[in-house]
Amino acid sequence: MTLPQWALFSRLRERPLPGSPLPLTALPQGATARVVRITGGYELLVYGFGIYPGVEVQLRQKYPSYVLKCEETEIALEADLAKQIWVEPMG
Amino acid sequence: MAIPSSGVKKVVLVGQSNVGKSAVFAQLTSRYVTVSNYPGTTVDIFRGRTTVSGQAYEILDTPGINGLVAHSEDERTTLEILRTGKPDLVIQVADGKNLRRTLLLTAQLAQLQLPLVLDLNMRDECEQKGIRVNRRALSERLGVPVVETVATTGEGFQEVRQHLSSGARCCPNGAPAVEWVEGILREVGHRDAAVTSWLTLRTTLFTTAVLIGALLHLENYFGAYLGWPTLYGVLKRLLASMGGEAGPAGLWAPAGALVGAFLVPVLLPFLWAVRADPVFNERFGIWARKSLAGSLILVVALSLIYQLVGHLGAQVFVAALEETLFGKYLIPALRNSIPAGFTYDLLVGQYGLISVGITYGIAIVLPVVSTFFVAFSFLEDSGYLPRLSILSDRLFRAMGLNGKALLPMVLGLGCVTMATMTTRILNSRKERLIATLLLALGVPCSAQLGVMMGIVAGISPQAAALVFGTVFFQLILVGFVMSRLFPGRRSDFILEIPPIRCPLWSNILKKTYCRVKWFLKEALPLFVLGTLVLFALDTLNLLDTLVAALQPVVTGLLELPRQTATVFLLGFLRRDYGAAGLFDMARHGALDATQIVVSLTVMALFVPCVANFFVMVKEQRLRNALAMFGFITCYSISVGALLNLVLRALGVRL
Ligand SMILES: Nc1nc2c(ncn2[C@@H]2O[C@H](COP(=O)(O)OP(=O)(O)OP(=O)(O)O)[C@@H](O)[C@H]2O)c(=O)[nH]1
Ligand SMILES: [Mg+2]
Repeated sequence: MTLPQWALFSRLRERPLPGSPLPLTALPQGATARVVRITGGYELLVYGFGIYPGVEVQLRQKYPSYVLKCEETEIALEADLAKQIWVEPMG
Repeated sequence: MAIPSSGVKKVVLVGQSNVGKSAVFAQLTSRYVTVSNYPGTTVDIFRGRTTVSGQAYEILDTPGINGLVAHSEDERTTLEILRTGKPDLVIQVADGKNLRRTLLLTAQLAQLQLPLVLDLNMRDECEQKGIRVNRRALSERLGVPVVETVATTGEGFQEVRQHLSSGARCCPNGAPAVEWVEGILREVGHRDAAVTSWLTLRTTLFTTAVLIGALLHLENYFGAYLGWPTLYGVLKRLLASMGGEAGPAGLWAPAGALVGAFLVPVLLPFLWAVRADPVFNERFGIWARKSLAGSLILVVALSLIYQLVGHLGAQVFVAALEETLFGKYLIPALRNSIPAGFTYDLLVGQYGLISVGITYGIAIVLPVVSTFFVAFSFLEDSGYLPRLSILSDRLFRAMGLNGKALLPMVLGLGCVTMATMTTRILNSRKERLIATLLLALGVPCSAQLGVMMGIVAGISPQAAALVFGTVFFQLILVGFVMSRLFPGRRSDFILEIPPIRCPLWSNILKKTYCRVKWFLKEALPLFVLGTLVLFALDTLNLLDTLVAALQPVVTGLLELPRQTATVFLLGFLRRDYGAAGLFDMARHGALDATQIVVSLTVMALFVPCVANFFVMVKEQRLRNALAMFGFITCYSISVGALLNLVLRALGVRL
């Protein structure tokens, strides 16, 4: 009766190769990634939420808004903002 | 409040949103402040006092900040206090679960070179998640005292009090904040293996129970249409056959059926699950922010509130108070004991202070407001509202706002005046302007909403859908047009989503009590004043002139009975007072279904109350406030007229 967590979050979609920066929007739901850089003048805004280069985030939802998990906080953000956050997928 | 004398030390609580600053404030002082589970509860400074071993302290509760750069008005207030308020001590309240984010702010606060104490709050949740921090190492590394607390239970506050006088300056040793933070995290951050969050058997059972409850609940609507025996109907008949009709005005059967059909099957399993099973909590938090599951949850939640406030509050409780207590005993007794004449007219006449002002306030509005506030505080404390922000973000974007604007909008359902101040959490001027206008135009406040629910619950679900649908559509329409008329752009949606927490009954009751008390203090005098004005106008024979002047609009345009004009006059003073007047008329059969729908819609779109107007002036300057007032008055009447025209032309039966 018990299902592992990943089975609920993602349906085994193809994961991007580790090592190449992607906008957050290109990440599959459920994936974990490390933030590489932030563009579009949003550095300060997302910095306040604890998101900066080097931090590990998990993408938990893509619709109706993007939801990131960073430490123990869940942060909702819209696509325009999410695509300015560049990440490197992790294993 | 008084400027602290030299003997009183000033202690400022700062920290990110929703980390428990206000809960800490409540632990340290005896003053009441609102504690709710969403970011942006506190939008202004609150001051309280406490004394520790003979030394008096002034404690300041502040709006949450994310750093030393303000993105919105409420953050600016806090930064202002930090920069110019000369605090003797800063207590950084933090969510112990998010050490990185916490230290990021600590690094910035350190730049201000103020004495600091770090309070890692929410220790209970850290333990549950298996997060442990080496407090001694952290304290040594930072050079400031570090305490751990649970603000909801008071754990750890002995130590906080001791540290009120011992804060030290914190120095981030010159390194850039990020490196400093990462360095400390490597040394002191420690996290056990994550507690498994698999869907266990227990969670499955809870989920099933809640799902069955929700289905039973929806069956009450669909069953009624399809002619099935609904749970509510069956229970009501059962209770009635057991002699329930014999109770005062036959109230106990419907009341009991409501509790049996709605509260027991839906709310109880839910409450139990949220309380007993952290995994269910987390699951629910995820479902509530998904499109499909979230919409279903929203429908069930709305309908539960409608049942609670519209039926239990506005029909059962109001019937008990208005019809029975006031209608059968109090008013007749007074009428019999006061001799006819001026005093009689003033107190219990057609526009009597007691027979109208007090009756509307205490017997109609008060029970409605109380039940509404219980439901509303529950919503606030559960952490559900920010999830609605996610669901509604796209809708708000069409109105030149973003999902964050949902918070002031929903708070407006509690009190539009307060919510107008909460627009400070929005990031741009344009957003604040639009949100203020929409709040004043189409967000009915608790008292009015409850009375409206009570009236339409007495007609039909279609009538309810029509009234609320029209108002909702106006909001979107006006928002859409305004967002294109006003210059400027909306800001980007970014919001932290708190965990779903089991609301504490003590907090819900305390909040309800404070809000009801505040309602009585705020609204009741206006109710009495309004009645007094009506009475004076009536005695001076001016009322008829005024009503005649309003005639073309009321009877001509809106096709309502003449006496509705007086109700609208009351509505100018306070919308809920006007709504209570309509409620009274509707109950006595003075309005047909179409007239009820039209008059309710107009009343819903009016400017809420005098207090709200003053807050609009304060937040948006007089010119804007007056423009909004004029626009809203004309617009509400036009919409009512149009609605009436359409309904009559189509011959809609409600
Ligand atoms: N479990 C737990 N919950 C807590 C604790 N402290 C506060 N809370 C809850 O966290 C939520 C936020 O508390 P508030 O005191 O309103 O937070 P705040 O920092 O004043 O928030 P804003 O005014 O929005 O910035 C409420 O639902 C509290 O009940 C704690 O120590 N443990
Ligand atoms: Mg607060």
